[in-house]
Amino acid sequence: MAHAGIPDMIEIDELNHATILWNLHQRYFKDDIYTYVGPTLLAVNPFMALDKKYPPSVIDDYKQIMMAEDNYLEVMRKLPPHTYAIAAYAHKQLIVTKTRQAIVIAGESGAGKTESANQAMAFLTSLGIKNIDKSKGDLAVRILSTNPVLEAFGNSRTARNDNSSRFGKYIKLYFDKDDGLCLGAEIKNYLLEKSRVIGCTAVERNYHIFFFILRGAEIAAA
Amino acid sequence: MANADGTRKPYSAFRYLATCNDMRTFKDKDGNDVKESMEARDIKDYAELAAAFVSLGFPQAEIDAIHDVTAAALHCGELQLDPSTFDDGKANTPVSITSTATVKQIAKLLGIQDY
Repeated sequence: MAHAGIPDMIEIDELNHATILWNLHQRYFKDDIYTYVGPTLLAVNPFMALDKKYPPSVIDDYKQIMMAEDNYLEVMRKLPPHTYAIAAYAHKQLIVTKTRQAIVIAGESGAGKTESANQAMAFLTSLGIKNIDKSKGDLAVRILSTNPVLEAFGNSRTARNDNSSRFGKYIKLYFDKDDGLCLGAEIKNYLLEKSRVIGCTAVERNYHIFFFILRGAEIAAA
Repeated sequence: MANADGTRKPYSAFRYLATCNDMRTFKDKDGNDVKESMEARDIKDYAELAAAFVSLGFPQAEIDAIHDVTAAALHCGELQLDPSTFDDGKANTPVSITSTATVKQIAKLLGIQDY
């Protein structure tokens, strides 16, 4: 019988490499890919879609954190760990403390940083949008549409990851300080791996876009 | 990108992409390794990209220009140089390009006047 695993590792009496890895291992095999260490979230890439465990509707569970009064930390701790909880916590802190918040996503190649960032963006834009200029279309859709564009030109296939970001990005989301609705987004890109345009090793691919236009463009045009 | 007769050029026709590894391995429901070309995914992702360009509000002329520049980069990988004209920078003379058709194609895509 597998141990249930501990959702917040701060509660482990004896914290060391072995206990941390053992706990993550126990949880990973139950598809519990998220684990807290205090205010930090550890996400382990499942390398598959976990639609059963995390259906799109879970996004609404984490909106309780936004609805909560001063006890939002308790509400957050009662829910299973998730990227959405971190995004919700950051947004709640933004409203409560009126100070800027940052979510730092770090990890090695293929760890799931890009997906985590997309999840956080999806959550934050789902909270409500102030569409100032309606003629340009739905702002939430436009903010999320930046991802496929940046990934087509800036992502490639590496030995370890079929969709590896070959650039860093800094996404700024602006929110109204009173009602917390999203006002817009700004993205800064850093350090694209330019050498890949010239060529890549045999186990990798060049940037997705070259394959996209060779394989997809004609069908779309026809 | 079509040939003159309207057929599709495979990516491997481009020397520049020919060495890339296009096969991905994944596990099926029974845990067996399956190898698959990324083609189906590329086609799906291209459709997503095309839709994203539109929802971001790119005018068609800009979308076309982005395609043209990307295609030009692809054709740049096909340029052939004449090694007999290469002098290691001693005489400071330019190296000749033998594939003039490719140059014309690149110039056309980038909107540079025919020389």
